Amino acid sequence: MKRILLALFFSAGGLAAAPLKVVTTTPDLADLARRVGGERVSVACLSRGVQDPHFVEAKPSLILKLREADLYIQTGLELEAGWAPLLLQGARRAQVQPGGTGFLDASRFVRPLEVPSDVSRAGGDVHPGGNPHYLGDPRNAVAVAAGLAGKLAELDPAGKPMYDANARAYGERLWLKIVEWEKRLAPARGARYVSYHRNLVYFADWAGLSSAGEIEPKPGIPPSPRHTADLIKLMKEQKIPLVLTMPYYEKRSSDALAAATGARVVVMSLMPDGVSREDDYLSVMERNVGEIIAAVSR
Amino acid sequence: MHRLFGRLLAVVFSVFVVNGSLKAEGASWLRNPSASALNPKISVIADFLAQTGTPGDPSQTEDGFHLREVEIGIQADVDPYARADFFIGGLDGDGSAPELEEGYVTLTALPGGIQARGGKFRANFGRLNMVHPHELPQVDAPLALDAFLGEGRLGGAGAEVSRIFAPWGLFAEVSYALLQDLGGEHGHGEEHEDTTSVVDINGSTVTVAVAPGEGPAPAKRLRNFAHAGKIRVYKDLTETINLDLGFSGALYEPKDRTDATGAVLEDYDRKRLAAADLTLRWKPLAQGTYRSFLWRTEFLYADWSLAPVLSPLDGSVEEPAARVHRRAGYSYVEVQPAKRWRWGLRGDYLEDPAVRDSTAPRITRAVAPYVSFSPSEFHRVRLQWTRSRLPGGDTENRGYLQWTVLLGPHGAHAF
Repeated sequence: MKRILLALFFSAGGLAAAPLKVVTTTPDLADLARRVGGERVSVACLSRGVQDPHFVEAKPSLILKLREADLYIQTGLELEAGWAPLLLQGARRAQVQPGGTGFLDASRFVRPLEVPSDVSRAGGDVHPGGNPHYLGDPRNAVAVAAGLAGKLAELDPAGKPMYDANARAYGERLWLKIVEWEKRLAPARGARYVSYHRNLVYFADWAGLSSAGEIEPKPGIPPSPRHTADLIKLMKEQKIPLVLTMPYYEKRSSDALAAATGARVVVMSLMPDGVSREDDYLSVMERNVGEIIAAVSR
Repeated sequence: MHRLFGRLLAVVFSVFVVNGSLKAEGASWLRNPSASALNPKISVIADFLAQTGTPGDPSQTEDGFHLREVEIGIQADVDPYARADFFIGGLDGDGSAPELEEGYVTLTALPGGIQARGGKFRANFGRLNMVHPHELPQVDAPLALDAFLGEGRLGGAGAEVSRIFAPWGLFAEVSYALLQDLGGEHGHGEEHEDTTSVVDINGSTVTVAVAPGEGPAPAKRLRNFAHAGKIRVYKDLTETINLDLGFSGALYEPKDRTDATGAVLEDYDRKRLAAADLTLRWKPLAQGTYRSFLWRTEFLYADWSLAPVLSPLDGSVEEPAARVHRRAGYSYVEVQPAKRWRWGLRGDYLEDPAVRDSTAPRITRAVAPYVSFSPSEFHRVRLQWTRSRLPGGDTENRGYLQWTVLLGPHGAHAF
């Protein structure tokens, strides 16, 4: 009997210490959740950094990750509109449905850029709430980390001191890096670039880069020969030195632009796991900053 | 139904017009999500079709341009516990009456990982039963679906429960539906009734109902309801390759209508259906929007006890009762070589389940290559050629050009 009671006591203790199950849509949010949640959370992610976050397949195996989640975190601003709703519906878990206590749209912690005044599909695959790639700006990562701490504390009040401390420490670490990166980026300020898609708007806004156009004629629309020719002409006229792309976009168009204009192609990633599996958010930004500096100082 | 449709159109129209006029005026509250977010998501899908070819039966030709269907979808969360989905279809260029294709409420907050829905819906049976025509992987449905599940597919008014499991790390889903009948050509009632014109004894032409469905429908008692169920098992073989298996069954066995002495007044078709489907997919992680491959195959089996067909004039037996066992299936591969392009090839095999002579199952075989181009996620053009070997040896060739557009909110893509 004594052994049974002891076993019950320890198993109850074990249950009490069970980590909060957090599921995020993208690896950048997963990394922030791990930094803030520490040992009190277990974090799973529904996509890989090498995948285009607009077009992740809603595989049933992903539903299994969600069916026991305590907290679901999405980027929002319709980034995951093409796949996450199916997973949420399939998971049959009330608390992580929109409006539930375990549902968090991280875009609520940032000020979106490029909120369209007139939403029309004539403009391509537009995001009515604004551009969703806000974690390209590390200052937004600080805000999201602080917001995550608040949400985690709401679900796990006993962990509040730790979540707050972790978010504060991570924010301070990020701010130190931001100051350092901004100094290093000074020579690149004002540099003009062409990107494949408008997913570097926040990064450019922070780093002081200036967009000259996109390889896609409109969001989500593949480049046409006419558009590419116009872009080559523009890049030559304005001597634009950079073509910024992502691992999940086809290489042919960016390579063609570089070959025709002499610009340098830089494969960037806004996601940990995008280029190297061991990456975290800080090292991703470190690499992005380094790549930009190397490209403009060439 | 026309009145209902008129009201729905008025609602849809007013939503669009009101939104449009307010945008033009720059109404500030419209930019506040809280003001407009409660509107249901409304989408309109139009499916145009041009076709030509050499039909086996020249009288059946349907060459020309058709507005095959316009479907209106209205979807929203009801409250924290339920979601509602309504799809109004049946609208085509020939002025057909609109019809509520599906309208159901899904309970999303049930305990134990259970989900339930009730209303009028297509049952979770086989692989393509729940897929609407414009979402089909080819221009037309595989032959097996129309013949075995009916053009309206297997479904109707009823309720369905489902639950997911994770045995040995697999994804498994079990669902069960209780339905008024199997719907489409399987059911009974006025919407399924066929008619014919005959000359009565006065020499006048009159329209009379003929089988199936000429008599009264089975009594609406629980024992006369239809049952449909499915087990789905899914496994990621690697990060880029996955396998999807499904086993389905359906049963509709209404009891004969008898008088007080037990004499049979009306007997009904009794139908058992089984299906097995398999899908193999490949999609690279980094370049998944540009390249993919899919192979899908489905096998269907029908065990039907068909009631005798009586003459509408004198009640004599035109076709005797029969028990038929029929098989059908299809298989197709689809390759995506670039972001906007897909091509594929489908093969069909069908034993006509409506033929009562078990010694001569009328067999149709077909092959259908196709190619599709999608300028965007909301716009697709598809070209298909179908060559069919009909029962009796005749050959039919049909060419199709399909043009599909979607207006409205960005919907999640079914997997």
